[in-house]
Amino acid sequence: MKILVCYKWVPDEVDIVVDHASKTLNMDKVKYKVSEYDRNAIELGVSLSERNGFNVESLTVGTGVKASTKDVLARGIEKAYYVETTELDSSASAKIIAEAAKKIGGVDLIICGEGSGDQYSQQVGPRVAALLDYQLVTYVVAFTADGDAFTAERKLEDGIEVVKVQGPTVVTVLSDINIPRIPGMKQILAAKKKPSDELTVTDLGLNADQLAGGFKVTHVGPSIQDRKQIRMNANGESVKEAASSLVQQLKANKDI
Amino acid sequence: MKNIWVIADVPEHAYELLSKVATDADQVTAFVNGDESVASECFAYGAKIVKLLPIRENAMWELYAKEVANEGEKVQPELILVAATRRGKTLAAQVAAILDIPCVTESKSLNLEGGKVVAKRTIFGGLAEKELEVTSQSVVVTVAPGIFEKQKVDNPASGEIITVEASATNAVVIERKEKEASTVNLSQANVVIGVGRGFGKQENLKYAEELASILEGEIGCTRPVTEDLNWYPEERYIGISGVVIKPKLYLAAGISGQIQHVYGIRDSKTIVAVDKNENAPIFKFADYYIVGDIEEVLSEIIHALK
Amino acid sequence: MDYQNVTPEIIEQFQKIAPDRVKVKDEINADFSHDEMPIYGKKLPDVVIDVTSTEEISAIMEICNKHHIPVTPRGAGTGLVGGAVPVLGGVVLNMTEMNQILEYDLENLVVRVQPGVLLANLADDAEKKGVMYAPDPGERFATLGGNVSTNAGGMRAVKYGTTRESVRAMTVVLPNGDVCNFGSAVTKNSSGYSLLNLMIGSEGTLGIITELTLKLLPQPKEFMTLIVPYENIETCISTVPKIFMNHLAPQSIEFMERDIVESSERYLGKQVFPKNVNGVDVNAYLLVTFDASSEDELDAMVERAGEMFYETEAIDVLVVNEPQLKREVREARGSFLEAIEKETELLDECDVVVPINRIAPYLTYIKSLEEEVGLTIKSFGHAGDGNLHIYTCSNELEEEEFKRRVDIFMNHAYDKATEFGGLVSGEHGIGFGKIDYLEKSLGETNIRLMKEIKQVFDPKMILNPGKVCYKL
Repeated sequence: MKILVCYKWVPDEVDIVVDHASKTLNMDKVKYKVSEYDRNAIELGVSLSERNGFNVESLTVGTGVKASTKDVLARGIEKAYYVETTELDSSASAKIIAEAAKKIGGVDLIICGEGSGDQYSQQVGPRVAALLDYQLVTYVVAFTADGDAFTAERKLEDGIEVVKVQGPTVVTVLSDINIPRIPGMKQILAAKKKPSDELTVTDLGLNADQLAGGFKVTHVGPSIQDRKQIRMNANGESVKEAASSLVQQLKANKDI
Repeated sequence: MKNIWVIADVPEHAYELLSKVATDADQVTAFVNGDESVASECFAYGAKIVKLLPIRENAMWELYAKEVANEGEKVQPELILVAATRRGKTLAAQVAAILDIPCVTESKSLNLEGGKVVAKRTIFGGLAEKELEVTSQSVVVTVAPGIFEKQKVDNPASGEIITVEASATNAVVIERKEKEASTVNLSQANVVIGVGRGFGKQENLKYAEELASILEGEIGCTRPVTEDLNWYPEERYIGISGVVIKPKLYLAAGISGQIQHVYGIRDSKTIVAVDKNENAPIFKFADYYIVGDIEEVLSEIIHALK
Repeated sequence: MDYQNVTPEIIEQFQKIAPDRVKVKDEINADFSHDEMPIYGKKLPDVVIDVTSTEEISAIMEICNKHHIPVTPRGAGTGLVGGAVPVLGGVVLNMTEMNQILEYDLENLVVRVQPGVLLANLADDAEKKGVMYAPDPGERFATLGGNVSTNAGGMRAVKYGTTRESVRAMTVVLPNGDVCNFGSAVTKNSSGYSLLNLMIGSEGTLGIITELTLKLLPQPKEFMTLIVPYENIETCISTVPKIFMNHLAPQSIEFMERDIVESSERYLGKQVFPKNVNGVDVNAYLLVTFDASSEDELDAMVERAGEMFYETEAIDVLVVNEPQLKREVREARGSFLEAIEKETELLDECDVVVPINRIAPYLTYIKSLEEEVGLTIKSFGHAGDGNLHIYTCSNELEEEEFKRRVDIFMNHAYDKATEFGGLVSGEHGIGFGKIDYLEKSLGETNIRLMKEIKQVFDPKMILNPGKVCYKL
C-alpha cells in the first residue's frame, strides 16, 4: 500500500508587508513554509505508515519547492517528489499532481490538506480525485485503514458523516485530525540521507495550453479597511464618559 | 448569458444564489437538495428549471458531481454558481475538473455586467484580496451563504421538476451524526457582540449576554472561545473558517484582532472594539474603540444604554 | 526622618521649570500609585512632573533637596516589587517623555538613549539597523532606565549577560541637583571605583539616570530552538551544566514543568509543547535557543547540541526550525505569566536565583512547601542562570490570610535560597516588597555598607525612600 501526501510550499503570511500608502504587498522578505493544513496531511500519512506499515511518499508542485523536501523528509516522509513550475492555479496543480501520481505508480491513497495557507481554494484534492477517477472524501477529521478499505469521518456544517471507501482514494484533512509532531534531531539528520526526485512538467507529458488558467488576475492587493479608528477615551476620559459618548455616537449613526 | 446554474445542498442558499442571477440569463437552472416544496420555492426565486439532488441515505451528496458534469458537457452553462458549503465546494471542484474549466472558490463579490464574470476573493488568510476576470467559456464560482439577499421574482416559472439519479460508487456513508439544529442566525443579526479570550473568566460572559439582549443582538465569538474554551457552540464562531457576518453593528470585546477573525467581520457597517491592550490590532479595524477592562467597559455601556 | 509637604509655592516653582507638565491632585492618573504588583501597597504622589531634560531634573532636585521632599523616579511602571511606588507621597518624576533614541555610533557599537525609551522600541529600531541590543527582559514595554535601575536580566542573559553588561556610560542627576557622568563608551575600565556599576541596580535610590550609553552587538542572523523533553525535572535540570561543559553557547536555556505548559495551553487554546513524545509522558522541558551568524554555523552547533542531549536522559530532541512553530513556541513561552494570572485570584511571586546545580533540589523543596503553607505554587525560569520565577497562587483565600501564608512561604523560600548560596532577586529587584527578605539574606554588614553608600549619595534621604536597604 502506497500513500502519496501532497503539500504546498507557501509564503509565510507573517512576512508579507502591506504598504498602505501604495496599496501593495511587499513579498521581499518572505520565507516559505509547508502550508499549515498540509502538515496535518503529512502527519496522517506518517502515522498510517507507522501503524499499518504503508509506504509514505510526498509530492509538491510550485516555485523553489526543492527547498521544501528537507522539511517533509524530516517529518517522516520516505521519498519526496517535487515539480518546479511557475505559480499555478488549482486546476494546473491538480493536473500535474494527477499525472505525477500516475508516473510514481501504485498510489492507493492520496492525502491533501483541506486547502492551502495562501490561496485556500480547497480544490486540488477534489480535482485530483476527479482526474484520476479515485474515490474522494473531503474535510476528514478521523481516518483508519483496514486492509484496502478506509473509514473516514468528515466534518460538515450539519454534522459528521462516516464514510467507508474501498480502492484508490483521495482524502483532504482538517486540522482537527491530529497535531503534527515536531521533528526530532535524529529525523532531521536521517532526512539528509533520504531520496528526493525531481519530475518535470515535460516528463509528465503536459504542455502550457493544458495548464492555462481560463481567467486573468486583474488585481492583487491588501484588503484595506478604511475604518474611523476613533478612540473614545483618547484624552484620559473615564470609561463611564467614553461609554456614554460611544452610545450617543451609535444612536446618532442609527447603528442602534 | 444563455445558461446559469445554481447548485446548493441547503435550499436557503439556493434561494440566495437564484436571487442574484435570476435576470442574468435566459435559462436559470437550480440543482438543489430538497423535495417538491423546495422546487416551488426555487421557481419563486427565479429558477426556470429545477433538478432535485436529494441527500441519499448511503451516499455522499457530492457524488452527484459526475451527473452534473455530464449535463454540463451538453448544456455548457456560462456560469455554475455553487453555495460554498463543504459539500458544495467539493462538488464544485470536481465538476470543474471534469469539465476542465476554472473554479473560483468563495467569491466575495460577483459582477456579471456585459456578460463577463468578474469575481473577488480573499487570499493569505484575509490579508489580501484578488480580482479575477474569467476568460474561459464556462466557469464554476462558489459563494458563501449570506452574501446575496433573497428576492422573489414577479412572474415565477412553473417548469419541470426532475429528480437526478446518482451513479453507484465504492464510497458508502455508514453513519450520519447530525448536529443539533442551529438556533442562532448570526449572519442575519443586526447587532452582534463578539466575545474573545480577553474575557478571562466565563462568568464575565454575562455582560456580553446582557448587552446582546438589550440591543436585540446575537453573541458571536472567536475560534479559541468555541474550540478550546468551549464557552459557545461552533455555530457562533466568526472568521475565515466560521461564519461571515455583516451586521449594522459589531462590537468586539476582548478580541485581539487576528486576521482570521477580522475576515468574518469586515463587512459590518460599524465596528466597535473594547480591549484592555492599547496596542490590540482590532483597533485598526474599528470605527470606535475604548481601551479598558472588559467588565468595566461593558457594564458602563449597558448603563449608558439604560 | 522628617519630610516636608509640597506647598503651593513649591508647585509654582516646579511650574516655572516645567510649564504645563506639573500635575497635582485629580490631574494625577491613578496608575501612578502602584506598579504591576499592587499587593505591595498603593500610594498616590502629591505631584507628578513629566520631565524632559537633565537640566530640568537638576533644577527640580535642587528644590526638593532644599525643602526635603521625597522624590521617586518612575519609568513605565512595569516593576514587580513596588520600586516606583511613592510610599511617602511627594514628587514622582515621570521619565517616559524622555523617550528619544539620540545617536547610534555603529563603529564603536554603542547607542545613546534617553532613559524613557521603551525596550521594545530600542530593540526593534536596532534590528532595523542590523545591530542588537542584547538584554531581553520579558516585559518589552519597560523603559531602559527602569531596566538599568533593576539590572533586568531576561532569557538571553545566559549568553549576553544582564543589563549591567550592556551599560557603558550614563548621565546622572544626584539628589542635590549635581549632574555627573559615570563610565565611558570604551570597553575597558580600570579607573577607580565603578560608580557606574553602583548605579546599575540601585532602583532609583542613589541618583536619577537621565541618559544612557548602551552597548550593541552585530545582529545574529539565524536562530533555532530545541525543545528537549524529560520524564522528570531532576534529569531535565541536571543536563544544564553539561551544555556549558560541551562549549555550547545558547542564548537562552529555559525550563518549564508540565503544569505550567498545561496552564498555557488552556490560556492560548493550543498545544505547542508535546506532552507525550515517543510514547513517554513528558513532565519537564528544556527550551534551548541558539543563535549564529550563518546557517552552517548554526546547523553545526545545533547538531552538536543534539548529540549531547541524546546522551542525557532526554526523551528526544525536538527541533523548532519552521517559522510558524517558532512563533508559536515564543508565544507559548511568553504566555506563562499571563496564563497564571488568568487562572488566579491572588498572586505573589519571587525571582530567587540559585546555583544551577541546585535548581532541582530547590524546586523539590519549594514543591514540598505547597502543602505545608497551603498555597498553589507554579514555577518556571531561566535554567541557564538559576533564576527562578516562583508564583504563589490562591483562588480560595481571603487577602489577609493569603498575605500571611505568602510571608511564611517567602521566608522559607528565601532562607533555602540563601542556604544554597543563592540570592533574593535575580532580575526584579528589591523595591519595597522584598526589603525584609534582603536584610535577612545578606546580613548586617552588607546592609550597613549599602546604607552608608546611600548616605554618601543622598545625605538627606529624599530619593525613593523606603526602598532596597533603607527601611522607613
